[in-house]
Amino acid sequence: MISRTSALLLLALGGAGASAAPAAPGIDSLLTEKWEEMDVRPAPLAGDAEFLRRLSLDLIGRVPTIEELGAFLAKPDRAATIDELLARPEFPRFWSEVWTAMLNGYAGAFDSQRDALRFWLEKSFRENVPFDRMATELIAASGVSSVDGAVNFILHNSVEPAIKVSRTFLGIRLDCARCHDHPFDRWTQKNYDDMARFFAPLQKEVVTAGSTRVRDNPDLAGGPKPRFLTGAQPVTSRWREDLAYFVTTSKPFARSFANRLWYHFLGRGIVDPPDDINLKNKPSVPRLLDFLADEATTRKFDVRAMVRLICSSDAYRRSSRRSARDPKAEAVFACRVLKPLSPEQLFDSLASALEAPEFRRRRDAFIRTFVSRSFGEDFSNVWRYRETVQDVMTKLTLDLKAPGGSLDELYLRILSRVPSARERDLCQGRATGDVAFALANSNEFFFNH
Amino acid sequence: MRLLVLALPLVLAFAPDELDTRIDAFAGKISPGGDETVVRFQKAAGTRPGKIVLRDRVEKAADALRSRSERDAVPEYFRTYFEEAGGVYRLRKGQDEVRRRILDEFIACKADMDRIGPLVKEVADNLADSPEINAKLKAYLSHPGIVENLYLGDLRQKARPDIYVILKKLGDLFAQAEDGRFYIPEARHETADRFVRVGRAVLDATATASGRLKSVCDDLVALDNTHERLKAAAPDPLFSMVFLKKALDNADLNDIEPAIQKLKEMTDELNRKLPEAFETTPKGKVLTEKASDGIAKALDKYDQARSKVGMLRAPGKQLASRLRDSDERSETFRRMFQSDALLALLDVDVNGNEADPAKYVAAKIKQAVSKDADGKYRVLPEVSDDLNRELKDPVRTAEKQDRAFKVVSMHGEKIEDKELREVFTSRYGKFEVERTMKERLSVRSYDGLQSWIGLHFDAAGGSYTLRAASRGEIEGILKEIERLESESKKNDLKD
Repeated sequence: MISRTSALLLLALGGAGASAAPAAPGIDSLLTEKWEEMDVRPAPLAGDAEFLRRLSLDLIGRVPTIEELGAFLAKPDRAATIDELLARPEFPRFWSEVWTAMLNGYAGAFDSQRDALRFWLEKSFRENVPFDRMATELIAASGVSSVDGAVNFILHNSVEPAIKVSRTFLGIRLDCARCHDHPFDRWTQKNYDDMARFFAPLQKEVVTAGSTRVRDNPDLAGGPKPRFLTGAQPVTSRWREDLAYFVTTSKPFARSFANRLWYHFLGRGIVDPPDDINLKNKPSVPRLLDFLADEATTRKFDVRAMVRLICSSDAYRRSSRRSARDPKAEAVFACRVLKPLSPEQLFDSLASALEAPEFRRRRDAFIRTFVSRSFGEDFSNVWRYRETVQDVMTKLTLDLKAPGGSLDELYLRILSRVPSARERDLCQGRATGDVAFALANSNEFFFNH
Repeated sequence: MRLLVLALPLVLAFAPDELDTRIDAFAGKISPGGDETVVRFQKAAGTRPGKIVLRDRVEKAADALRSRSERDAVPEYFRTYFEEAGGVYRLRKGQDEVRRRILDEFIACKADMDRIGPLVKEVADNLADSPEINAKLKAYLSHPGIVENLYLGDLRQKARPDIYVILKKLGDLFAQAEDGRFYIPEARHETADRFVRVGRAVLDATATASGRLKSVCDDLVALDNTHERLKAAAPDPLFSMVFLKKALDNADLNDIEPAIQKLKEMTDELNRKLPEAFETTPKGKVLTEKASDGIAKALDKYDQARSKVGMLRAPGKQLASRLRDSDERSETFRRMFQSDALLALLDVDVNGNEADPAKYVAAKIKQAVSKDADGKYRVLPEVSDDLNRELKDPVRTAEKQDRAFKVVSMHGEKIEDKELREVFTSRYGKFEVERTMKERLSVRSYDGLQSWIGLHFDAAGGSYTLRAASRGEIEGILKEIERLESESKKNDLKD
């Protein structure tokens, strides 16, 4: 393990610059072609320290520790580091949280068990279950909510499962077509009805308090046979099984999967937003989307293989530093888009940076408060003064003890970099706790950049 | 009798992966004997469309087994506990404990129902005939099984809580295994551990506090009733819970540490301040005047808690004995379910009007009807719509219940044991059979694959040979697989 002093030395000697590595074939050449066509100049590559911060946040959900930073700067082998992070237990844990939030959000519904779903996802990511199989199990899941984690996706979204399945696994929004033909896309109300009928036999039964069994009861399937968006119709009496097969062997599924992964890492989809692929919302780099979709199919939807492909590209390493926003360059990934940290990333990064393991027991409460303050407020509530997201963060950082060590160490822990000369001047004579508080509440810390 | 309406859903016997593995193993053991169709089937069974079509067949076979099992639920109940000889049911050996439980519960419930009966009859006999809702309610209340329906349907759990009352309070923490025992699914371990942390903290805190209370009260003079009660209550951890419970009020399971910390602080404070509540007088050690009132109130709360816990003790013990696992986590739950202090924390409503079924029914009647000057009861206008919805078709519902009762009663009449015969020829017997079978069927799994194989293949020497009569089934499956493959080729959107 590399020492803190070595990490500081490496950063001081310029070790945080970009190390040379061969670009991944495909992604970068396709992007270069696009930039030339659009006459866009790409941003320079981010430094190694910035790359590691980015990668750690995206794969294991927290900023790197000072030791991890030092080890990487001493030997900036990006491919090996990607593999090393993918092999850690933190990877499936964090990704299960990201996907649980995407599949079921944060609120409860119909007694669905968020924990059970998250647990199932963690196990699936840990065992590197191919994503098409995960999707199949989520769409066609049967069983009891407390035992069979996958069932909680359909249970949670059981009011309009066709809409959620289309959005999540195909990137297609059928919402409008529920009531009328889509105003600017191909989907008609009949398309929606045909798709929705796949879920007509869905039956929910309470097993014990808080535990629900989901299964298909073919007796409930009345009317004509359903039809998938590609025109395919089921053959067996278990329609959801047939649907899962049609979905996961379809081209939109491969494109959507590739686009979602790209969105997670780059902060913006090739079609953006990633769940709104439509005739008017075309991919910004169509050949890149096709390439990634083909790669996903060839690699049999191996999540780790796709992560390696994307994270080892130069596209993933473009710097976000620029004087003004350039939407045109952002759309074609010539520069990095800033991504706000998720509540899970924020908490884990703070706990790790400030070495406060005793605080971990309050993680769920923090996330719940954060999410409800940010998005989940019930607007029908009567007015009352309440804390803001900033307050939640402030409270958390106030409660923590500031770590010891030099100013450089503090910066490395929290921002993964050493302070600039100006920052050194500004911090002169300040208490460590005050500096830690300021850094942990800075925009630089709040964003994955 | 169709117990399906009540039968709880069944847990899938095999996870999709496991079923696929079993299908592969089965396909590998098929002996085609040069039959081209069987060779094609064997190959197709290994493909994804093949698995989908076969799983459909397996599910259908499992559904058939499930239906059969549900149809057979009542005879199965009696077969389990009785053996039949010459048309007479005799209790099987080793079932004495079951007999005792059934009779005890029957006697207790019958006593409750006997108190409710007159209340319901009084209203039913004196309900006005119009408007229509009155007649509807009269028909409902006049059914011979009404008291059992009211009491056994919902009230019994409140008056005589069972394990499910406790399980309900713990949300979705436990799942039921096939053998009827309970376990904590892996996905719930994190949540369970939070309960365990609280449980341990409560057990520790109440053990410390009750030890301290006992030692302080050992030489207390029996000055009056309060002093006597205090001396008796002091060693009971439940009594100390009266003082400490506040620490856990509004505790958030997702952020439990502050509550645990508060519990520790309150325990320390109780220990510290306890001596201040006593003084030494010429008569000996007594409560100070200032503390006396507070202690008397605490003792009243303790009595209430004891009565509530008294009702939960038996189901708590039963639940502890029905936990499947013996890891540290489960062991702590076992201790928790048998701890009065922890049972008192369960916010189970067993201490209000609901605890007395007769009072509960009287209150409900008062909410629904009023007695007018002519001595007739009439439905209150404000509940008329709700009642109308609830009593959708009372006659039909009653008919269904009567049919079910007759089936159980038919078996009950054959029972040799006079006391048990009384149980199973009463409407209570129907509920007992339904409740037991509901639980039993809820965790039973059905091996659809084995059933389907048994229908179409002969097994010999470790391999399977297709029966001639099942050729059509296999050809049908192959056609479905082909169709599914063909449908899946429509794999893109039309531009």
